[in-house]
Amino acid sequence: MGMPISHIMTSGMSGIRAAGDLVARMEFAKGMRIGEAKDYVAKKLDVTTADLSDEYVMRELREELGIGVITSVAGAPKGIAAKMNIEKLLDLKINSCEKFRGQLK
Amino acid sequence: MTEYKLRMGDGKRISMTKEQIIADLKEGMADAADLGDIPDLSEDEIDKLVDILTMPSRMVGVEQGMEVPVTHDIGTIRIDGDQGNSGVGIPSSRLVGAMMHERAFGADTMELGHIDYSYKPAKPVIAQEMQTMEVCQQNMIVPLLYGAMPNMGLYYTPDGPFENPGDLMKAFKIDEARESMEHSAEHLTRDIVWIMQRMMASGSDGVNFDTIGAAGDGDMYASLHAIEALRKQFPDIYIEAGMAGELLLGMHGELEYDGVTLAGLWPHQQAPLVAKAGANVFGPVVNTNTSKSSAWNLGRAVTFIKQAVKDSPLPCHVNMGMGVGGIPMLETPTIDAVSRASKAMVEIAGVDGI
Amino acid sequence: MSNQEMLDKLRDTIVTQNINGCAEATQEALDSGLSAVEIINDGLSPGMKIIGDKFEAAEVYLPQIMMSAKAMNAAMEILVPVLAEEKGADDEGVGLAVTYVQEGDIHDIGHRLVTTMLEANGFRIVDMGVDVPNDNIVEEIEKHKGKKVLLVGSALMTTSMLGQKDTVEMLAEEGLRDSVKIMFGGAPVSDAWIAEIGADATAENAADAARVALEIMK
Repeated sequence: MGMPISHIMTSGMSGIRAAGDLVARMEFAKGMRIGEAKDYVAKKLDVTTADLSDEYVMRELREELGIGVITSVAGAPKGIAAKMNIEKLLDLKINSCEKFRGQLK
Repeated sequence: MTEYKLRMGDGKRISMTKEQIIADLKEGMADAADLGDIPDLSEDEIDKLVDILTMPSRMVGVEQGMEVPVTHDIGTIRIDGDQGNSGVGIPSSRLVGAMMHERAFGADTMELGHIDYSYKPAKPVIAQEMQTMEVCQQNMIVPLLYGAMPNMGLYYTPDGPFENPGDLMKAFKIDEARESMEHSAEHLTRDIVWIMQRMMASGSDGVNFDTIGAAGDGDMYASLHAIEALRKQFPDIYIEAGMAGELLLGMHGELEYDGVTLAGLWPHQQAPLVAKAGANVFGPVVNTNTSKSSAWNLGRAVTFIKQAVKDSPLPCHVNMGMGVGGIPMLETPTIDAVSRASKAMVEIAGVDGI
Repeated sequence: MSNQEMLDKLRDTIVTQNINGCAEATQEALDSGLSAVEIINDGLSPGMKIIGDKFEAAEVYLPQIMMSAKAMNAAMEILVPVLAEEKGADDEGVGLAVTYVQEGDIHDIGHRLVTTMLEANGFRIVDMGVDVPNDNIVEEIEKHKGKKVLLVGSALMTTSMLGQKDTVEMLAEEGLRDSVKIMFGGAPVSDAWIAEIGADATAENAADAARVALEIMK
């Protein structure tokens, strides 16, 4: 386990502690390079690109936007609910959310 | 003379002077430049590598603001797998393993993979894979891919239907060996597409091809065709194409994709083909030489990857596991070496992720 | 044709994978008075070295290196009986190579390639296959005690590589260590590891393995 944790500590955007999942999602969804993906997400969140790795900024913002936070906050959106908010925020469709919507009667 | 603590490629601690470090960095760089026919690093970049390698702290970190997404492969096998998978053997469900990566470790993306971790053996347990993907997707927020190895060797005897090209080659039956690889590639493409059709129906964000080319150019040929077919069927699928090694081994030698011979391609030459096939993210690899120092290995790896990043139309998430990307070939890679290699890849090679 | 020209021709038939040409050039060289040892050391082996380097640099691929091995093999079929004559009827030639992949490991591409290269370079072969327990290896070496034997083990994973240390120790315990030369290869195997466990050699690639094998069996 030392390998991934060492990389995350050295270079990572720390996932949902900050905005790593959002930047990664833009790289994967749109093939954006790192600079473009960070600019896109920062613009959508109305923060600077440096803020995207800043837990202090992102913690409150994630809770406010309902896109999931790393600690378990009772009643806050998690899983599919959080991802449906991410879809709106980043203006893209997420497959699991599409499938979830498709199952609703 | 001041000596600095570095590592050999097998992880053993060594001491080197600054002059020795520079000499090894340049030698490793020259090896990559020569093999790949690519430019050397600049003097500034060499100086920066020296700075990273000689920092006294155990761990180093990228400059604030330069962080990149860290993509995790091998699924949750690191948690519940055994020593054969470098797993730590903690009994847990795959949902628990995936959520631990998201919530406890801060991974930027995650993947679901099964214990055998090749596409072919996922077929008989596909219903289990689909159900697990559904449950994970319901609970997780970070992008979650389905990942496995193309591993074309599983289509050769004794594990598969086609005569083993190794046996055929040994008997100098070259044409027959090539035919066997071509048939295997067709089946591998078909299986990957079949599995991913089902995983996409279960809400997967996409697919990670882990260790493309492990069985040579036929493995790459099959994977590129699978990527092409998946992109056509699922325009929004996330596709990561991660390589097995730095050089695409020419087991067949004559297979082509888009008019380019696959055998003998280096990372910067692989990237445009992966993009052409329809992947979103490319995972280049540079192998570690266990008999050389971490300075030699890192100089070489950064030279190769910098060029791959430059020539790639796609984001590059460099492979930085055991024995690749300047990291020692050791099951418990030393944190000092991992951290330095990680920083160097982000700040000098300019990777889009790890 | 001078001797040097003849040796160059032998080298070139290997590099160009000219199987029939290699056999013909070998016979021609013997007829003109070159010894089998000279033909191997100064003609054929340099050709294999060139093709090995080209393989390493990705200028040629596996099918080409196998065809070069076949050319070498064609020459050795002619040369082995001559070598026996030159050195006496009891001579074992370059020796017997016992090749295998360590227990717990089934990665066999490198193993197969090295086995073929050794065979092409005149070694008689016992290929024990993959996932071989150390007990079986000791048993096999015991059978050939007193002969010229080279043990060639491969391991791709760090976990299976650890078994190589036990191989050397078990051979020593059985009093067989001095009757066999030991080479190990595979991604995690380093020079330091070879020194640590008391083996004799490792090599960078399959062609180099054949060169090193001939060297340590001299």
